[in-house]
Amino acid sequence: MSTDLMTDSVPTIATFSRRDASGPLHDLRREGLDRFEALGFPTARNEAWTYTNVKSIAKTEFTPASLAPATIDDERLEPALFDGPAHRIVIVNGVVDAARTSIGPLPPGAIVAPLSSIDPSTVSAHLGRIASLDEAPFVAMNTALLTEGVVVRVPRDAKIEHPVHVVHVTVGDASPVVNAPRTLVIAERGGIVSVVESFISIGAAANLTTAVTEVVVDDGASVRHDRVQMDAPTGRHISTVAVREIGPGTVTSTTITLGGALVRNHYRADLDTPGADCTFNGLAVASGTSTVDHTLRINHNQPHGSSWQFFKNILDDAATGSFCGRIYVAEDAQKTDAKQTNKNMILSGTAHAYTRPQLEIFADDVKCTHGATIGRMEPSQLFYLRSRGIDPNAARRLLIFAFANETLAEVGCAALRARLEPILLERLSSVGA
Amino acid sequence: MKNPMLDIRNLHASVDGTEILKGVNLTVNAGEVHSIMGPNGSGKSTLARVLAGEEAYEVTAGEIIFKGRDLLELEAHERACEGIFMAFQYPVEIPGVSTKYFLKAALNAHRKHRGQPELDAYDFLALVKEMAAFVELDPALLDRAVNEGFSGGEKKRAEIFQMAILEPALGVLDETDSGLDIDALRIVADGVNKLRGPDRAFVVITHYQRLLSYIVPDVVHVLLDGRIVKTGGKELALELEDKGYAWIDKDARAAASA
Repeated sequence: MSTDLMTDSVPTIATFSRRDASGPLHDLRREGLDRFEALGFPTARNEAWTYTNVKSIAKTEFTPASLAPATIDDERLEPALFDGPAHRIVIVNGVVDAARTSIGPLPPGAIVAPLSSIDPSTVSAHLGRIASLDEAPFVAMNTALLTEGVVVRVPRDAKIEHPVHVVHVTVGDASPVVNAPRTLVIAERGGIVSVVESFISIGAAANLTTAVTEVVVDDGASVRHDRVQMDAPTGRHISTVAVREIGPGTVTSTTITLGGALVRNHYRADLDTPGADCTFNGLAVASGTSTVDHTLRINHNQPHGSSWQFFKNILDDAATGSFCGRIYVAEDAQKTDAKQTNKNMILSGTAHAYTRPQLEIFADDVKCTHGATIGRMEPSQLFYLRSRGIDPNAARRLLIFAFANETLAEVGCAALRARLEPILLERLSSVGA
Repeated sequence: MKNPMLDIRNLHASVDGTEILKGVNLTVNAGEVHSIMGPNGSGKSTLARVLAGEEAYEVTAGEIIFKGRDLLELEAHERACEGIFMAFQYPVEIPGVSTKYFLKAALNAHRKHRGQPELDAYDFLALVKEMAAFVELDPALLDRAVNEGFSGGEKKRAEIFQMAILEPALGVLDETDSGLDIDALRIVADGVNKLRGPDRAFVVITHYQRLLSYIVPDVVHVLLDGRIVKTGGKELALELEDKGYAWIDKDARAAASA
């Protein structure tokens, strides 16, 4: 064990991980556990965790969520649901809520199913293989706890007509639980799918959600992926979205963060084929003493790839937002086109934003740009609105919404976008007052 | 005699401690179009921004009476609701909010100020469609973010479009002609001319006479070094086009020292 930040949770997680030794996910869990025990929790000395202190997580004794069965009532679930047809899977503390799960007709060969309902060996080439465990203690932790998840596979040249909607619910009131949601999306050649993941955490405890989403894309496939986090004010959420393109396809993933005391969203893409394209967007609204961290690593391993990062934070009170975007361009990855933007709107005198672009470029014929802004509301925009009769308070509200709306517009699922607009307006009505 | 719509008396205004307006007097009656001409740096845009209520422009002396009220007591949004509209020389872009959404908020603010109910979506869209045609603005632009990615001409037309929707008593055009080609200029001018009426006045600020061939003013003022130094009819604009501003400057200095 390599760290001074070991917790009482580790033996609990180890015991959990080792049980059900004959089960199909046992070997994968053990692999995760070994790595988790070797890595331990990161400290602030770890450069990738400079602005996100996980000491409070390390010091918490968590119960694995599936050992704390829970239910959710309709009212609490409602904000996560959107209108219109969808293949929906609701998982509460790691257990599928059968009554709220409904999967419609799918094209031949397609899979939309809880992990527990399929033979995991059919997806073992990808499950746990896209999201690297190296340097990723929370992916390792998630893997050590893996018992349930969702598999989405769209076969060659097929399209899954309606969005696949996965709702991950973490419930812990008396004592904190750690939930380990896992989603695997496999888009074969020419396959098209839209996947929405909603995360809700409920309860007064300092619950932890360690979400891992793995996406593998082949030639000509298109994946739209949207994530919405509506964690409770005490909730902690550490997510990893790992994308691998083995054929030149398109992946667009957008994360909207609306709650949580400590949130870190990690995006990683391995563009392992010429001409791969990926886009990652994020919007976080943080207030109180919340910390929101977006960390990205895009590996351009082959030529003619493109990647786009567009991340925004709205920070109020004493919230902290940090962004670290690393673009790696291998020596052979000529003609790479990569762009990174991070914008922060600061609404108080005590909020903090940190932004770190990191470009590691070993090819000599590439286009890589980055830009970051940290600022208050633009006075010229404010005046323009006021000069049209809009009062200062409404003008401020409109500009905050406008800032957020640019990212909302990137949400791939139209029904989700429509649902999010009033939710976002409601969330924004409580900041910048 | 009826009260003027706008009465500016001995107006002094500063930006960052530097006095730009040094005693402007200007009276505009309903139904009139006044043009303010002058070289760069004479204070034309400052006058527009003071009228609109931008806080960076500090009024140090004088008064502005608008429709019988002390304008300087009103904040920018109150002035707008009372009927002052400034078409910006450089309209700002507001990413993330569509022109339609923004204008609906603005129009409903005006209506609320007048004690009218909000316009419903159907009536608003009908109005928007009518006014877009009025200034030959592509309606598709209205679903895009405010001024974002608009060409120079589109931005200016969008300003006139907003004015047509908000129906101000006083339109202040701050160098609306700058950067416009002749076709765009004609469209903008046509829009303004259609909005002219007995209850509405315009202050048209321009550097060049060109715009005034299309928007024919009733009165032309020359602003030099923060003061109105000459006032005449529309022919004054042509004279300025011919002779430049130097002769007025000379006359004004002579008058000042006399």
